[in-house]
Amino acid sequence: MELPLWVDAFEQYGLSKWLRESRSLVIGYYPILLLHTLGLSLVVGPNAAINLRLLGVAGDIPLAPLRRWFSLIWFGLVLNVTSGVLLVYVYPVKSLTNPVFYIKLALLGFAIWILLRIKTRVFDDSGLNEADMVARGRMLAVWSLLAWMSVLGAGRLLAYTCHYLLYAVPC
Amino acid sequence: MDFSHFHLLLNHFPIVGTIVGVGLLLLSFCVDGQDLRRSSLVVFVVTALLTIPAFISGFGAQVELLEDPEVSNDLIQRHLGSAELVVWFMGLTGALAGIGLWQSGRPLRPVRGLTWGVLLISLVTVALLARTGNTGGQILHSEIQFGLQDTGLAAFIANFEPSPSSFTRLMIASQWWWAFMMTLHFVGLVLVVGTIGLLNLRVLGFAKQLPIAPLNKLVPWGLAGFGINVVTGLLAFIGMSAYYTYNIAFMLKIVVVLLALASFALFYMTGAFRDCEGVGPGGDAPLRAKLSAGVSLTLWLAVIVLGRYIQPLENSIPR
Repeated sequence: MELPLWVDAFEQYGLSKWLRESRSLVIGYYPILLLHTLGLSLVVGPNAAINLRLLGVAGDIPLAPLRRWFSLIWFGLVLNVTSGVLLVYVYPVKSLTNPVFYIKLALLGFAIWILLRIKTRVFDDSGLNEADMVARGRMLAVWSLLAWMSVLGAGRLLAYTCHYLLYAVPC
Repeated sequence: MDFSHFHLLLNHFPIVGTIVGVGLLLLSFCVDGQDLRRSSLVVFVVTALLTIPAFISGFGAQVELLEDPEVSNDLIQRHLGSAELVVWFMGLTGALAGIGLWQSGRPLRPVRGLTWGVLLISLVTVALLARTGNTGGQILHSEIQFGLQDTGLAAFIANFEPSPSSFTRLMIASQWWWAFMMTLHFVGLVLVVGTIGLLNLRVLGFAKQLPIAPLNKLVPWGLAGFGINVVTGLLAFIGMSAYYTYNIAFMLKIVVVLLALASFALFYMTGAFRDCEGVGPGGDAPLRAKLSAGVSLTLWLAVIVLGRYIQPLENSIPR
């Protein structure tokens, strides 16, 4: 695959190079990866719990107060968008030349869309009783679980596949 | 690091523990004691968990032993094959015992069938453990060696044992399989965070409008996630034993996982959970429960951090 020269310039930029080559466990590539993992557990963990509840697990958890968990999800998302952008910045060629990367982005877009639907349709409508909330949320919960699992899967696959490690450096 | 020493120290727990567990369980049928039954289930769970470090320390012990040209690699591989079979049965015994314990702590239907299941699987486990202990002991004790030729029950069991080298190759043959396993490992992580983690956060005072007791019903899903991670973790270890063995982050992770589970057990056994079970919407949990939840949350966080740092800490333990 032919990549534009600016990607090379990007990759050779001091900050990218420095983060990439830093073996430090406090700042550099691995701590960014760690933040990405912590972020995903904050996004997908509460999400999974909300979805399971909507599907009837632990049915005596009141639904309305689960709204509070969305703040964890938003925090996790901010953490992951930030660390995700940094990960691309550190290995731009590796990410941009891997088709799995684009599949992951598409799946992520879908998963976030479902998440927003659950938030607005199920939790933001204060006039709903529990039965209405479950009725509205059940199918969304199924899609949400599938979507986030696919995002996780694509993310893992991204870690174990690559065509180019760096500009003009095949894996 | 002296893996042989650790292995010798740890490998007695599975055998002795399982036999004690079976004994207590059988006794509980005779004298009809709920406490005896619960004790036997506790013994099974603890034994199954201690089997993890016993299994893991074996690879390092193997490498150290093979430095001696007198030691037979065939005997070691036979022992490894028997270990790679029994570890799943030990895990199943522990998992069933864990389910039994969880249910006996709740006012649910008494599960008699489950107890019989535990008994059956644990008896199979004892037989397989005897085989594993025998093949292990023979590696170094020439006085009890009866050679590589298996007879009787040992020969029968041997039919079910995997070939260690093929098992390893199978695990690492395809990056698709590896990514699939690791995806499941992440799903397990997410389930632990989304259930046990959120319960801990609520006890600490986050999302206070939620009553505490119903949140507890999510916890079995977290334990299922933990089970997924034990299985996928063991498979990954079988695939890349050397990579994980000489890795300080991995070894610490195993220790912290066991500590996190101990803190989980203590949360229920010390009464910390009973203290806060009745806390309703807006209510504050007592300090003891909060401390327990804080410790648990910290330990699970440490597990994630250590897991993530396995990669940069490759070869961090000298060979």
